Amino acid sequence: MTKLQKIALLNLILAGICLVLQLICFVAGVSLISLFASIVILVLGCIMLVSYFRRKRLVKRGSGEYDERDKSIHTTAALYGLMTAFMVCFLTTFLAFLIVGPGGELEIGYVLGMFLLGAMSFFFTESAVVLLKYGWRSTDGE
Amino acid sequence: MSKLQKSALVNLSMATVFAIISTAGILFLTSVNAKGVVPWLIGLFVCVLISPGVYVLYRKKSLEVRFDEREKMIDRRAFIVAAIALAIFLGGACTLPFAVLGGQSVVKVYYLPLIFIATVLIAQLVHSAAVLIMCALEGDDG
Repeated sequence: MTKLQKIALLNLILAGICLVLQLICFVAGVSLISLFASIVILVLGCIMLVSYFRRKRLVKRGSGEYDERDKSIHTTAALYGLMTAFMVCFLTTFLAFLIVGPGGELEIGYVLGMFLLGAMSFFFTESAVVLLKYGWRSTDGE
Repeated sequence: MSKLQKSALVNLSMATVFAIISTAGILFLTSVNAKGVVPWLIGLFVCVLISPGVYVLYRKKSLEVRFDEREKMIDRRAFIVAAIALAIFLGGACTLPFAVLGGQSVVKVYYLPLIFIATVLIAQLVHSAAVLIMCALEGDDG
């Protein structure tokens, strides 16, 4: 596994955990469980941010670690991630509208949760696509 | 005016029409306090009836298949700018109410689809504007 694949795998695991925790937050509502889950999401989000900057450093360094092919793979993955996040936001928005009804009200935390869910689904899909494009078991990124 | 500029203008006008129709539809559903699946089935039926006509019209005016390499590059860059604008707007729209109104506040549920539609419109607006600006900067007179 190359460094880029390792970063993608780490992001995939972290984003997967964050997604599950975010869904638990939605179900649990305002409670201690939600608070604990939010803190864990915040910590994992920071780790993902660090791994993002680590990837940026690899990109800046250039040389053999990040070439045109890697750039193409990451652009495609980002596109897939964006589409997924967009669809998740669409679904959460319209499902809430459908379930609660147009005259209803929602806690403001739901709006923030909707955004977080979209962001996490972006990272999850992007990392999954990167790993799939490189090939799950390849050792040299080919 | 080049093909890309014409395409950007068509996209912009179609997104505007889409936003106006969608907002009007949501406001109508809100005014009658529509609940349940029936209004959505009617909406889906209308979409199924309208979309082939819009698609044919759009395909007729869409000239993307005949873009040259330079225009494709401009389009790609504009798409990246639009994606960034989409993420910033959605992030702002979801986090600012939380910060301004406080965590215990509630929002009307019809704000959610309005936020979503506004996000789509902003993304399309930025994409079209970026295409037109980039073409103008490169002295493209078609």
